[in-house]
Amino acid sequence: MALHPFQSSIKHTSIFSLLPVENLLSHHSRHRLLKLTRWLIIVFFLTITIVSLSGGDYKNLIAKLVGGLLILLAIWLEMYLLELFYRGLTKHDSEVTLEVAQILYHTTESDLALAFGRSAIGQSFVRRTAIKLTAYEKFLQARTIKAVSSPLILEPGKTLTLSGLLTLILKDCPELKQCFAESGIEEIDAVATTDWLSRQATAEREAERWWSRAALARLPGLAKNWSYGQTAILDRYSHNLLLNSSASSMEFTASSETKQLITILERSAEANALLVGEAGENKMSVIGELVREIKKQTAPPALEHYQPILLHTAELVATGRHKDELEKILNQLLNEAARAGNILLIIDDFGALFIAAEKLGVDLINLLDPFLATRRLPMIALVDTEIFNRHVSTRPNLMRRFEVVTVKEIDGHELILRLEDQVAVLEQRSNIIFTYPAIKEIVVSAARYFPEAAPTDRALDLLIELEPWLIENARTVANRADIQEFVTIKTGIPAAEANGAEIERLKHLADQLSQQIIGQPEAIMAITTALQRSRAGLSNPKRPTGSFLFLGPTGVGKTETAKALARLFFRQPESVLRLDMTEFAADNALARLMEVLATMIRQHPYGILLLDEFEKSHPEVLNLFLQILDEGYFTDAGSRRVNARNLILIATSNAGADFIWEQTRANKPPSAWKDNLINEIINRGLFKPELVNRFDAVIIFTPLSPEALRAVAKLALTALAERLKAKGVSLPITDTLASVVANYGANQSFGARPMLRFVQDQIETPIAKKILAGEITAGQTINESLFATLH
Amino acid sequence: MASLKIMLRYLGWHYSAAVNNWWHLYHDFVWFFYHFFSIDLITRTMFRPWRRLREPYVTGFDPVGWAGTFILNCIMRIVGILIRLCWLVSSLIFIFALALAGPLILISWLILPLVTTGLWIIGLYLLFA
Repeated sequence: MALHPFQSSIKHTSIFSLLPVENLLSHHSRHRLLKLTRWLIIVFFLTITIVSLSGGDYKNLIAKLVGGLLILLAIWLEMYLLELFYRGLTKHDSEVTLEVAQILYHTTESDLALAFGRSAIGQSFVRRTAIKLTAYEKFLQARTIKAVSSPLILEPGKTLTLSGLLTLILKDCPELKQCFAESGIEEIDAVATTDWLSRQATAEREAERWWSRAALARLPGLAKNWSYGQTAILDRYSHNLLLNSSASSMEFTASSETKQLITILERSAEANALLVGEAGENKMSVIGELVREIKKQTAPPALEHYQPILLHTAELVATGRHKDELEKILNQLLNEAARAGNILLIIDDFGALFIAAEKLGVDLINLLDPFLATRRLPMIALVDTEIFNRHVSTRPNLMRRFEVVTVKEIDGHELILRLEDQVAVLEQRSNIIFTYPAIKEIVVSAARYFPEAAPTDRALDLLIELEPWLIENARTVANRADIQEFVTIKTGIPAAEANGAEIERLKHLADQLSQQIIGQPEAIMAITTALQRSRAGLSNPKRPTGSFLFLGPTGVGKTETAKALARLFFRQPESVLRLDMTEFAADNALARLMEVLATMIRQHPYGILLLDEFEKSHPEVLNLFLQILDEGYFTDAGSRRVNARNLILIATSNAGADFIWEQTRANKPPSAWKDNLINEIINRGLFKPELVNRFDAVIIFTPLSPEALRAVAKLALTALAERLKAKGVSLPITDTLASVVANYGANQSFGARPMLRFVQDQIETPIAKKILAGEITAGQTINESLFATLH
Repeated sequence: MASLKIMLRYLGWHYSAAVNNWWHLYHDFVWFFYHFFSIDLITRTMFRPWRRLREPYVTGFDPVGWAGTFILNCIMRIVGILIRLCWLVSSLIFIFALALAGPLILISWLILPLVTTGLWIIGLYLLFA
């Protein structure tokens, strides 16, 4: 039978011999058959034994049963030999991986997109990416260009992986890229998903090769402790990481930090490392990698037989409450560990131990020094960056014994790989399938909605918390929307992109704001654009949703704009967190503000943070906002992060109001003097340039023109008219009345602000008196002459 | 036809790549048991006290105390040597046996396809005879 072009392109590879076997009886079918025959062999064997022992004349039956048993044994043996054939040939990747070879082998047409889509791994890909199956099928039938119509040329020495094949297909078939994009899957995600599937398949195969050197090396040996001492005291405050390290099926290459750590630990003296990094799991993951290397026996000979012992610092500090006590325990523990001769001491949270020792007056540096100076007891101390900078790096006596290894913040890609590893364990336990977009969303949400913890910790916690929630809600597939729903429930912040009613609200937000905020079109446009960007998922997730500095004289609508936004978009008046910054002008303002702000934001993490009279804040307070604008969070007095990334920050100020007045009187448009105004404010020392530049936009609110004032007056009167209408009384709002309110209610110093008071005193009060006197009753229309005295 | 092709391909692997791989496997298993029984470590630390148990010598002039400690420490070493020696000998016997079994395992591997054929023939004969 002639080979198809794609079959021809792989026929010279070693894996090709395996493909007909896989075609006839796949790996999974063989597994099922092996299991079945194993049981049948046991049943036959037991039956033969029972029949033989029963004493009757069953020779014929026994012969037949033995015949059946031998055939079952033959089947089992053949299946096992085929499995060995499979495991032997898939040990190393040839020029193509097994997954790719299977796709190419089954291609009857010269069409890789179809072959990929119809293959078992292609189906897994569709499941893992949550691409809509109907859309994919429709695409396969309706597309115009078939992918890769010529035979593949494999490069010698290189392996064509599944992701490589998909990249080729996508290059030749842009329609497929479009089909994926319609389901929210970009090329980079599609490729990452295939990498995940390949790693899973390789890990499964590797786990079955129990005789491989790596698998054998993982088995703990015998008589390892005979030549080393015992550590009864140390055991009370520590545990051996070799005994309970999770045997991950996925293989990770050791990070540069782990390699650096191993080099330090190999030294003949001062084999001590100080692992410095942000608070969180990252430092422990480096230790985890080191433990894996020791367990796999791939660590250098100098570390062979070493037991990585993690010291529980908190327990130690809790026990040693007095100077003598702590000194005694530490002395005993260190001497014992050094005497044992095979201890690699890992001190978790070295900072806590250091601070506790310092408080009690224990000279920790001198206590550790004899051990640190030699190789008797190699040590790794884990310390948070902040504590390292403040307490440890300033001690030359300690620093000369340790070599610092700085642990980098784990990047998004690495975090996804780590989550994929965790998901494999979780999926086996709970039968929930996680899609790639869901895993990616966990990483994004962890950074965006929970910046108070290290991203690795938060992402792993989120995954752990998700499991019971998904089970409770009977979800068998965890998709991106499920993660967003869970995050929304957990935080009260809409994590999903805008949809339905919200899109409509966003579309009309500018129009609706214009009806309530008079004469400030530039401000309205800037705010609505920022909100649209954020809800479309386009804004920088590591900064507040939006940040604006509103500059303008008093009473021109700065505060009202923020309030109107809360009413129209957030639909909750309490979503405005308002702070009068004049209260935070004193020297002790920073501590007080941090306390107030932390409480406010924790209670309402989603909304508008309105900072009135921002220029009056103490310079230290302004510095705090510099950090918030830059990073989207701040650290409270208890060293806990407060997340301000889901707030719109609006700072109002009448700094430079005189300048604005001058320019407006000269009839110059704001665009002509905006930069001058900002320079003027900076020159006057009201704000630092870096602070002004951190805002997404500086919005100028110009003094209201007579027409604008009349419009504001009409708004104020309309509010009153609405209230009167509820009592059946009608108040006609005429231009004359509006002009009167605008002329007498507003003034230059306070803009439109006194207008409300004017309406209340001069319009509302006379009406109230008349209503009480019975002169105005329901059904009546108020005559304008009532306000004649105002003219 | 397809089954015959598969069988031929399999046999090709069984008598070439698999036999070649067998030597690696043999080597890996000897390596494994060498490490599993800690032969290297046991040899290197043959004369060390058992589990590093050691009595510290008293300070000052005390010949009786010194002699007592010396005897005790010697006993610890002797215990260590004896246990290690026993372990080493039994481990080496095991590895030696494994080394001897190697060729036998290889021969079994070579005749395994014949064994399965034999199992089929005898099985079918017994079933239908």
